Amino acid sequence: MRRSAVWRIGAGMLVLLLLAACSRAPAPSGAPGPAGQAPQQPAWSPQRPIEFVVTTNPGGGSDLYARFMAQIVEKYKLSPQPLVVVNKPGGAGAVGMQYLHSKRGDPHAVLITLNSVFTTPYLQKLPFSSIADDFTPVALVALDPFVLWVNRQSRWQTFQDFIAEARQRSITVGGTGSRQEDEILFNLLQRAAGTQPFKYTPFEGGGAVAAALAGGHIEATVNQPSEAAPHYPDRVRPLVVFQEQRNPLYPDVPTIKEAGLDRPELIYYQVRGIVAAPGIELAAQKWLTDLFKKIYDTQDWQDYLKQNLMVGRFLGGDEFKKFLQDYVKLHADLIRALNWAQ
Amino acid sequence: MSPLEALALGFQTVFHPANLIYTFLGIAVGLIVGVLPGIGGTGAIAISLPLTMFMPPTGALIFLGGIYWGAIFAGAITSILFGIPGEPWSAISILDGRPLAKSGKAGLALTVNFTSALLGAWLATALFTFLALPLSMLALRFGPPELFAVLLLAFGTFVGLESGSPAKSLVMMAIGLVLSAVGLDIVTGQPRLNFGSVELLKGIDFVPVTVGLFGLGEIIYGAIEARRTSQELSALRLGLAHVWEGLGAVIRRAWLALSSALLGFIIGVLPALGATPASIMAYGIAQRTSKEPQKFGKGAVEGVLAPEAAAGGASVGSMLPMMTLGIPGSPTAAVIMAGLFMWGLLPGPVLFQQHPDFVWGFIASLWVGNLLAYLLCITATPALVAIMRIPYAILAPLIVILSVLGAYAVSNSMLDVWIMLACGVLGFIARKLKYPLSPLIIALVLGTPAENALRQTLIMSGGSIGILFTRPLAAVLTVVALALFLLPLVELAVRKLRQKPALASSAD
Repeated sequence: MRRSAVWRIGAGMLVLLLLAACSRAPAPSGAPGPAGQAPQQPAWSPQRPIEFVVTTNPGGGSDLYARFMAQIVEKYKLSPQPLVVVNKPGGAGAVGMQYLHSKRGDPHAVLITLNSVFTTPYLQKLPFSSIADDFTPVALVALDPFVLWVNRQSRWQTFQDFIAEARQRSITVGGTGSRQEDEILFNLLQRAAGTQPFKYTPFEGGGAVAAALAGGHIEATVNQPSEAAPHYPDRVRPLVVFQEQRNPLYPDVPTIKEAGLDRPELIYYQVRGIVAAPGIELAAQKWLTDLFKKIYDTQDWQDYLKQNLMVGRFLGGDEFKKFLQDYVKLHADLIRALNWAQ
Repeated sequence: MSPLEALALGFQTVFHPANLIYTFLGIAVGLIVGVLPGIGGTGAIAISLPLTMFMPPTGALIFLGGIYWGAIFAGAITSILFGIPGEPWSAISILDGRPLAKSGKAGLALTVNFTSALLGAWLATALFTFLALPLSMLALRFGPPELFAVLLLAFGTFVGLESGSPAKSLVMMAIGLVLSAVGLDIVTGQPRLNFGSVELLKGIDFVPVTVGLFGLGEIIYGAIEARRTSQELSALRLGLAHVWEGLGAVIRRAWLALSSALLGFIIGVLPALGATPASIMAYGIAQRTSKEPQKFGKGAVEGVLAPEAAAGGASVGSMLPMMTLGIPGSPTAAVIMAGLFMWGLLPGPVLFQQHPDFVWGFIASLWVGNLLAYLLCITATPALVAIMRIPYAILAPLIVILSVLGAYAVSNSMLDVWIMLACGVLGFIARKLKYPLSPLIIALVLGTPAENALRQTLIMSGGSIGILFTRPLAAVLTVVALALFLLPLVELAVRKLRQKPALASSAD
């Protein structure tokens, strides 16, 4: 038992060393699927490794999801060619999106989304505007919920307490980056509940935001459950979840609708989805959607979702496109209303 | 369970054969990526993370930790030998490590580097073992105002240190600050100084700039100045003589090593800063408190010792608040925390209660892993020194190739290669005109976090700078930092005042 584990690690190390040695060059595929194995020949299959574009540095949230999925593909031999993670960080997703967009017609590249894919095209001068229409939607693989958090020492016991005070004075809140999902959500909340403008403080990442709230340096956040988890329940308190249903992690915390704000835009998630380059053929799109459906259905991915406190939801092809279009419109309208666009 | 009992349990876990192999593998990977510029320890840990999905969590954590310690030890090897940093935290070691190597004392510099890194890591591990929970509370008390005050302190330690012209230092610092401003401004979300380029939105990374300024710049300078080798091979000694000398040098400076390690540990515990600012601050303080500050930059042993002790302390320190509070003390610790989630573990005090074998196995691996890394490095030292005997005509092109690859590997971008080449030319010009390089590097590393912390502070206070003086912790740090800034001016004024009466009396 122990011995085989050691061997497995040894094999893993070999792959890692190869990767390091050729500076993230594509790893040789473990098993190039022989033709005889597949009962029906698919209409399209990849001819070379598929680039998995990540818009953060190695170690960023979406980077780890992508690497995990690439590992699942390898483990279950889901594809004749491996997924190879390529980091294109910078500009709140602008660099990575630009890179994928330049691969028009080439299905050998996909990108994992963060909600910056909805905002960045409207904030920066880029040759595309809609992630739904100017790229090829492939699949939704998870939704990461947002929760309103306050410090445990705070006098706000309920969402109503919080909103009542937010209508009186400008509350200091924090979030990841500027004009990205956290600030978007606080603005949606301000508009829906008629509060004073929040005093929004941008931080480098979700972990820093959660730490600032736990230390009492800011008054509220809309962290995701995984970001706030190390501080819950000792140092932070959830007041409301921005979901359709109650979150099983916090069964006593009301949904935003139960808390009295029945507004569709306040059902808001971080969208963990996959898009491909624009203009790829339909057969290739279908193959990619199937691949991510297979990944989604593995026990490994389902366990991973649970461990990272996310909501599993799969949407493929046109359904996912419609889902993205709604999010694009929500963000575009808000950015226009707030006069953020350049 | 007392810490000692728990530690005994931890050692049992670590000495399990499988875990010893994980430790060894981690250290080996860390040493390799630590030597290669561009591929950092943080990146290597992120890339290996999915591989650990099939490992037992304790083994996985020991393995990833091993990569971190290996990278800490190995980062300075190329800094010292070739003047190109393998890791951001070893950039400052170039300033004195490279001159030492050039004067034939590469073995001494490497030994001092490894030994002080081990001392730093072990001091931090001792603090981790016995005071983990109380010390971690420090991380919670540091909000943006306190972090800004610490960064101000870091800048303060460098004011008035450059032996050359203060105006030239200011120019280089300004260039560094301008470079750090390039990219997407996280406070307003506006692009800055990108001249319409989408690629420049990612900002200017520290690695290509340092590699260009120091590594390539020196090669261009050497080529144009027609100094054949610029290395004094005659003094180069192989064998263990320099190793013993290095050990002695560290022991004689044990006080500096321990205080730098403690500083590194504290900076490591604070959220997000990590080993790079720690090594820079330790260098500044070592020079400031030295009896012979003019020796720094020309091959002072303290200039290698202090930053490495701090980096060793910071790397271990940054893991402490990550394990106890879920607040990573460095970007690397943040990646390892993502691993904890993947293995189904939540950081926090509960982790210490529910999974003592995991936590204490890791703490024991801090003792064992760092020692292992040290032993591997120190036995390799004679071989590493032998590299310096390769003729310069062969070594120089290799350094250039390594620099180009390293710059590209940072974010798979040709832009970084161009930046590296441009900085090489800038480094040459600066050497030629005797502009110091370190202020640029310091400003580039500390500029962005300092700017962000200041602006977050001002948003919190509604624009009033007074917040830096009304929060007790921030106030103390700010006052000390301001004193450091004003000290050179006061010294100057005192000197002028003393000179005047002297002049007046001589005129009589």
